[in-house]
Amino acid sequence: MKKIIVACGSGIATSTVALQKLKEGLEERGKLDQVSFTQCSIPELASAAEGHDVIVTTAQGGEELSIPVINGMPLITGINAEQVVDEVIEILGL
Amino acid sequence: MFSKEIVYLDDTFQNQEQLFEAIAKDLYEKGYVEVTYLKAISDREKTYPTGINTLVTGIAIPHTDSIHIKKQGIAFVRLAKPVMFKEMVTNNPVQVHLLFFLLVKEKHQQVEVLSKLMALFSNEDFINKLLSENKKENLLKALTEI
Repeated sequence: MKKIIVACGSGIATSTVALQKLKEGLEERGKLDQVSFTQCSIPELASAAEGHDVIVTTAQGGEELSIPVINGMPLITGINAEQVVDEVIEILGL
Repeated sequence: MFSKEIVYLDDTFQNQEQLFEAIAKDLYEKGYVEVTYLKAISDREKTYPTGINTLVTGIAIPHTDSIHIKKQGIAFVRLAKPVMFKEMVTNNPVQVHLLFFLLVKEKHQQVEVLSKLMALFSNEDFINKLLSENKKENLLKALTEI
């Protein structure tokens, strides 16, 4: 099971939207059962991200951790959202 | 969530600070927000900017914790000339033309509304309508139908 952590400024608003879209995208590709999700705010990321395989954010942060970070904005705007899903799949090796 | 009394069309502001001051003052006078709201959105915007680039124009969705909100709603602002914001994640400059101030007390509702709004940010026809429609009634109709 690969672990994805999704973060935004508050850990409430845009990260929830991004997480929903990511789930939909992974389900469409038949990969949803191979991943688990955690959601948090950027300030919580430093302590919450340990043990995760990829970070998807809709705010700045996470680069200092030794985990790949993906810009999740396309999941929010809908512009190039598919590429983000593909990128997540590639990084996780699914 | 949308209401005619908090739709602001085609005012001019020199910068983000002026814009936030004017909108926060009016929202406070109309009983939507606490006196702490202005500082809360201003501080948040500095740390976690809410600008979004769409294919048509820049949009921002200033929001803050529910403790600063008295009455739920979404204030819609269309500017006569764009104001500089920063983009979420990248911090790149964004020329913002349209704003949605999310005034939400219930967190799950905030996300539901946000999700619906966000889905429309890639719809060029919808954004163009928001930019060009001059009747508040028609704008409200477009917004409430989402």
